[in-house]
Amino acid sequence: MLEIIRLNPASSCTDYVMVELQGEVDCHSDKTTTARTIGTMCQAHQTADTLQLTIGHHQLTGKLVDLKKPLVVLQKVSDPHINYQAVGIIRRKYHFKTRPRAMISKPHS
Amino acid sequence: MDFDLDDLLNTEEQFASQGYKRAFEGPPEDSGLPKRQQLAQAEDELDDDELLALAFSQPWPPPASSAQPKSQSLPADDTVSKARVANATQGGSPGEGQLNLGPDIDPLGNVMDTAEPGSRPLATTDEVALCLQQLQIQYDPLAIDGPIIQTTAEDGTPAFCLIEEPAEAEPRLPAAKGQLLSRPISQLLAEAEQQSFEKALTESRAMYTQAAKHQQQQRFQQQQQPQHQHEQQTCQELWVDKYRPEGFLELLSNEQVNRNVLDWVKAWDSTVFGFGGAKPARGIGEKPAQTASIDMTVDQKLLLLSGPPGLGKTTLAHTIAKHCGYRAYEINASDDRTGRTLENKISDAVDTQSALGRRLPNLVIIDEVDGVAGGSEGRSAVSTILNLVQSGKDKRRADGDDDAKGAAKSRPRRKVKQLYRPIIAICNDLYATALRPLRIAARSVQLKKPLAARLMARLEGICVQEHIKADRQALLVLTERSDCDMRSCINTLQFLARQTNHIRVSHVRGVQIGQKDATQSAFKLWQRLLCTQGKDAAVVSGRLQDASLLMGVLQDFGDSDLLLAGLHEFMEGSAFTDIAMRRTAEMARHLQDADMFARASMRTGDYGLQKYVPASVLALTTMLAVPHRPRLQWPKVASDHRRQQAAHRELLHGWLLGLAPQVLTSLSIDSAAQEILPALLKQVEPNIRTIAKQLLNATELMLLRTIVSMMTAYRFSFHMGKYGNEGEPEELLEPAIHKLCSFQGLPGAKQLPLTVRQMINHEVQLESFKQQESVPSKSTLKSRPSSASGNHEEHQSQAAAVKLTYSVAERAVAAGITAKRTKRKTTWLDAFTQKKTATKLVKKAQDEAASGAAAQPPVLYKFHEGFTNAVKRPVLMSELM
Repeated sequence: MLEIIRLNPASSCTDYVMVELQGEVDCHSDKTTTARTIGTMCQAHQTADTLQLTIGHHQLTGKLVDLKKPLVVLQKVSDPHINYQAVGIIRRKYHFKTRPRAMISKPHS
Repeated sequence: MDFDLDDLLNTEEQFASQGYKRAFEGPPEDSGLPKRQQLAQAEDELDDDELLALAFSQPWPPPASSAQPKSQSLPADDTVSKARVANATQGGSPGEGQLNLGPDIDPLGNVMDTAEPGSRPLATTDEVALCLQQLQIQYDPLAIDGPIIQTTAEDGTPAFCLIEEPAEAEPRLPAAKGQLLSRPISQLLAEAEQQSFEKALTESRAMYTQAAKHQQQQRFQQQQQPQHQHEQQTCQELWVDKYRPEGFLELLSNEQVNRNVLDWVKAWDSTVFGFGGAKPARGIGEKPAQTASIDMTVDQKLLLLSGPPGLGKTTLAHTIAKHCGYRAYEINASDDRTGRTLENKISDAVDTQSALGRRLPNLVIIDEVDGVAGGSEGRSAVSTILNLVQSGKDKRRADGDDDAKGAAKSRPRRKVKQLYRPIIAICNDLYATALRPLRIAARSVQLKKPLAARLMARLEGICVQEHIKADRQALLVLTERSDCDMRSCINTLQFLARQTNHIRVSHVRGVQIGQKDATQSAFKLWQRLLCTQGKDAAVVSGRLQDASLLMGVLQDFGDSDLLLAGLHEFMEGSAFTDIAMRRTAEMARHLQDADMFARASMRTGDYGLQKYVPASVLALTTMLAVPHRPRLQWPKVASDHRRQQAAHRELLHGWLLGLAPQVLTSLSIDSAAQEILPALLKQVEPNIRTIAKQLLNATELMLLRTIVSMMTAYRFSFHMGKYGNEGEPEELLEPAIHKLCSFQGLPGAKQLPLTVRQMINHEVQLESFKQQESVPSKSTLKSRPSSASGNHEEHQSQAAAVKLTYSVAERAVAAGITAKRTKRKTTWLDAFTQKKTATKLVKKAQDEAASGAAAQPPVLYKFHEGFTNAVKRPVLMSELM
C-alpha cells in the first residue's frame, strides 16, 4: 500500500517521499477518496532517525531509507496525444515494517 | 677338512664362502679330475664322517623334478645321484611316491629329525634343503643293504634310509688345488674370533682389577672413617624399598584380604588375556569377541583398597599386579586432581600397552583417591572414574534396550567406552565423603593391621640382614607405638640403625614416630577421647605421654567445631553422678573456653588461637570419659537447627512481605518473631460460642470484629483444610506463622471449632474485599469535601457504579481531578464546582464507555505479517498509451 505525499507543490518536478507500510490503512467510515488525515508522524527523538507514525490506536516505528532505485511519478497528459509528464521523483521512503504497538489508553481528543 | 655338519648348518653364508663354493663352482677342467671324484671330494668336505645318505627308491634315472634340489646348486648333474643311489637302484618297487625335495619340505623336516637324532634342530628351510640333497629314501627296508634307519615319508608311509659309510674309498683332492688361501677360511675366521675374544677378555680383566684396586682404596679410607662408611651404606637405599615384598607370599597383610584382591584381579583374566575361549581385548575401545562372558566375570570393575597408612596397600596392589602378569601403572590421584587430567591418564594407561620389554597389559593403580576430595574438581575426578567404571554396564543396558525395541528405533547414542583393564583405587579413608559414589560401584577391600608377631618377625629378619642387634622388647615397643604401621616401623628402625648397632627399648622410646597423614575419622577420635578402657591397657606409654599424643592428634584433626559438637551432644546424652551440677558446670566452662577461642580466631582471622581449643577439649574429655564403649552419634542437632531456622526465616519473610506497608514499617523480622507473633496468636483465640453470627451477643461481636481487623491487618487466616492425623503437627493458620512461636513441651495454640474458624475466615475475606475496594476510590473520596454531607450518599453510589465498570475512563477522570486539585488552593466554592465538573466528567466517561464503537478512530491500520497482497501484473505499453 503506497501513499504519496506532496512536499513542494510549487516546483514542476517535486521530490516526493514515499511511505511504505507493511499492512493496510483501512478507512472504514467512508470509502470516498477525499483527503483526510491518516495519522500523525513525528520524530521519536531529537537525534535518532526513527520515526513514529500513529494511526488510530496503533503506533508504528520506522525510519527514512534511501531507495535503491529512485522512482518517478508520472502524470498522464492527453492534449493532442497521450503523453506522460514527470511530476515528481521519489528518492527516499519512510519505511514502517515493524509490528504496530497498540496503545491501550484512549488518545487525546 | 676340519669343519663338520654343525658348522655347515650354522650359517649359510659361511657355507657359501667355504668349501661348497670351492668344490661346486670351481671349474672342473681345472681340477683335472673326473667329475665324480671332484664331487666326492666336495661331499667329503661337506659331510665329514657322519652324514647319512638316504637311498631314493624311485625309478632310475630320476625325472628332472626329483633332482630339483640338486639342480639348484648343481644344474644338470646326475652323477651325484647316480653315485648315491648305486646301492639301492636294483630294488625299485612300484607305487613308490616321489618325494619333493624342494624348498618347502616341512614333512621332510620330520625326516631329518628322525634321521639325525643327535643333531640339533634345523634352523632354516634352506639348510634343510641342502642337507636333503644328500638324503635318499627307500620304502622297502629289504632293498637296502647296510645300516638303515626308519623314517616317515611325505605321505606318512614309513620309509627307510641307508646310513652311508663315509666315502673313504674315494680319493681326495689335494687341499692346495682350487684354493686361494693357504688355510680354509673357517680356520681364519675362528682365529680372528679367538683373537678378538681374548682381547676383550684381557681388557675386562684389566678393568676389573682396576675397579678392585679402587674399591680397596676406598675400603681403606672407609676403615679409617668407620662412621662415614656406615652412613654411606645406610643412605644408599631406604629399607622400606629394599625389603619390599617381592612375591605374593611375602606380603605381610592379612592372607584373606590378599586372596580377595587376587581373586578379583584373576577374574579379569578372561577379559585381558582371553582365557577360556574369549579373545583378549586390547584396550578400552576394542570389543572382545564374547562380551557377555566377559561382563559376567567381572561385576565390579573397580577395586577400592582402603586402610590406614603404612599397611602396604600400594605394595599389595603392585605385588598382585606383578603376580598376575600385569604391568602396574600407578597414577597418584592427589597429583592429578582434576577430572580431565585423570581421565586422560587413565584412558592412556588402559588403552596402551608397553611396546618395550615384556608386553604386559596395564593394571591401573590410582593411589590416594581420597586426595581428590574437595571442591568441584574432586567431584569431577571421582565422577570421571565412576564413568569409566560404569561405562560397560550402561552400554550393556543400552544394548539390551536396543535388542528389545528392535533395530527400527535406533537413536544416535553417545559412544561409550568400555573398560577392559582392571583398576585398583587406593585410599586411606573408605568413608570419605568424596568417595561415596565410588564406594557403591566398587568392590571395597579393607586392609587390616598385620599381626604384630608377623611384623616383628619381619623386623627381626631385617635386623639380621643388616647386621644389627635389636632387643625383642624394643621391636615390640616399636610395633606398638607405630600402631603396626609397617612403613613407619621400618623407617624408624633404619633411623635407629644409623645411630647405634644395638637397638634397645630406650632408643625406641626416645624417638618420635612420624606418622604419615594419620588423620583419623571423627568417630574414631571421639571414641578414643571418650573411652578410658584402652588407656589402661597401654603397656608402654604413660598417662602424660598419652595426653600429649592425644593433643597432637587433636591438633591434626582439623574440624574442631565438629569435634566439639559431637562432645557436646554426647555430654547431654550421658548420665553421670553430678552433685550440685558442679561437674556439668565445669564441663560447660570448658566448652565455653573452647568456643571462645574458636570464635575469637574466626572473628579476628588469627588462627593461632585455634591451637588452644584442643586443650579445653582434652580437659572436657577427661571429665566425660566413660569406661565402656561410648554410644556415639553424628552431631546433627546444630545442622538440624540451622536448617529449621532458615526455613522459618523464609516463612517469616514471606509473611511480612504480604503485609500492608504501614504495618511493615514498624516491624523487623526479629521483632515480628519475638514481640508481635506470640501476642498475636494469643489474641486470635476468641472465646466465641459456635453459633451463627446473627445470634452472637454484643461482646462477642466486638471480639469478632477486633479479631477480624487484626487478621486483615496482619494478613493471615485460619487454615481451612483437613487437619493432619494424630501425631502430625496441626496446621492452624495460613501462612503457618504459628510454627514460629510454638515450642516443644509448651502447650500449643488452642484449636478453634471449625464453624467458628469458618465464620471468622468469612468475615476476614469480606473485610479484605472491602478494603481492596476502598483503595482505588480513595482519591475521589478525598477530593470531595467531607462537609458536603447532603450529596454524600448520592455521590458514593455514583462512584460505586463507576467503580464497578472500573474503566480506563474513570482512571483518566480521577487523574484529571487530582491534577486540578493540586493546582489551586481549594475553597468550599471550588470544591463545589469541582464536584460538578467531576460528575460531568464521570458522566461523559460513562457515555463514552457505553457507546464503545463510536469511540473507534476513523482510520485503522491493519498489519500484514510476513506476506504481501500485492499482485504482480504485467503492464503493457498499450495500456499506458
